[in-house]
Amino acid sequence: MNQMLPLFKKEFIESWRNFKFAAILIVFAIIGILSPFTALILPDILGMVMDDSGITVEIPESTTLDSYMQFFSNMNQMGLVIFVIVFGSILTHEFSRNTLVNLVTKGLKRTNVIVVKALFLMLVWTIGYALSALVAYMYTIYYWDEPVDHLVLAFAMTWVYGLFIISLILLASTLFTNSFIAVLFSVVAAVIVMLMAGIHPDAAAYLPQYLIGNNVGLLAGEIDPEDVLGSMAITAVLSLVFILLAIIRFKKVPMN
Amino acid sequence: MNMDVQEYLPFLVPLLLLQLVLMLTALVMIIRQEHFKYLNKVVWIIIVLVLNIIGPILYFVLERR
Repeated sequence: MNQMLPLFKKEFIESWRNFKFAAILIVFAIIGILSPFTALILPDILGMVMDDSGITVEIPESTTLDSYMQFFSNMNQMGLVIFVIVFGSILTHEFSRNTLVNLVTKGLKRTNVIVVKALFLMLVWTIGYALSALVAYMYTIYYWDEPVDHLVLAFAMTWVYGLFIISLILLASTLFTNSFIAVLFSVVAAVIVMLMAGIHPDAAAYLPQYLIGNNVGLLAGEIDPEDVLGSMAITAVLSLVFILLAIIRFKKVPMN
Repeated sequence: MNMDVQEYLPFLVPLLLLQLVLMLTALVMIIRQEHFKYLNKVVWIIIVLVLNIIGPILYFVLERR
């Protein structure tokens, strides 16, 4: 424990100094504002385009669901991608600059390195995502003010998926050590594999990918909360397993 | 159209402010930085000014390690 605190502090100061922490908060806040905004102006824009081309169609006003649909599509695509790009190098840059060698030879437990990195990424993801969700939520209740069911669970789905992505980043980092590009590609590859496995309808409901594909479905009542729990549990377990594997692998990584 | 802009201010003002913070921080860091890993000072300034959000993010990821 007394090794973890300074390490954690080091991570925090590092990401504060290179502005990555603040940058991710700003980007997530922008996503939070942009999503309800897009939902709000989309009917107007469509209306203008229709007027120009001389088509008269009644365009329905946007609803709370549209706002959340925008939020989840932005977050699940842009938000997660930017998160991986900004924080994907958290472990690999230690290898490429050899900054861990001194610490490890002086008695820093290797397990602690991974645990602290994982905790730190989880903290950044949680704060950023909570900020984004909160901003989107506030704008949405202000502009539409219609209650929706299971909102917290819908938000939690993407959050758990983010934790899964974090564990993937760490596992890939310990496998490829100093190549950030390899980490990026392995995360992308894992997502593609899950998408392909998801083609099979029986498997789809148990894959992590199910979580970020069905936020709006849950809000709209197309699926029940119980349907989500299976894939949520599997995602959480997978994340833990990946982090454990990352620790085991990291203990064997040669450092010089 | 004027009416619309007024209506959208609660969105536009924070959006612009956040983008400005991101851009200005990146610009200040670029101006203070002497050695660049990729590209050079002028190119980075142009990138940050032209590509909003993505430009500063690219700079933080690639140059600030």
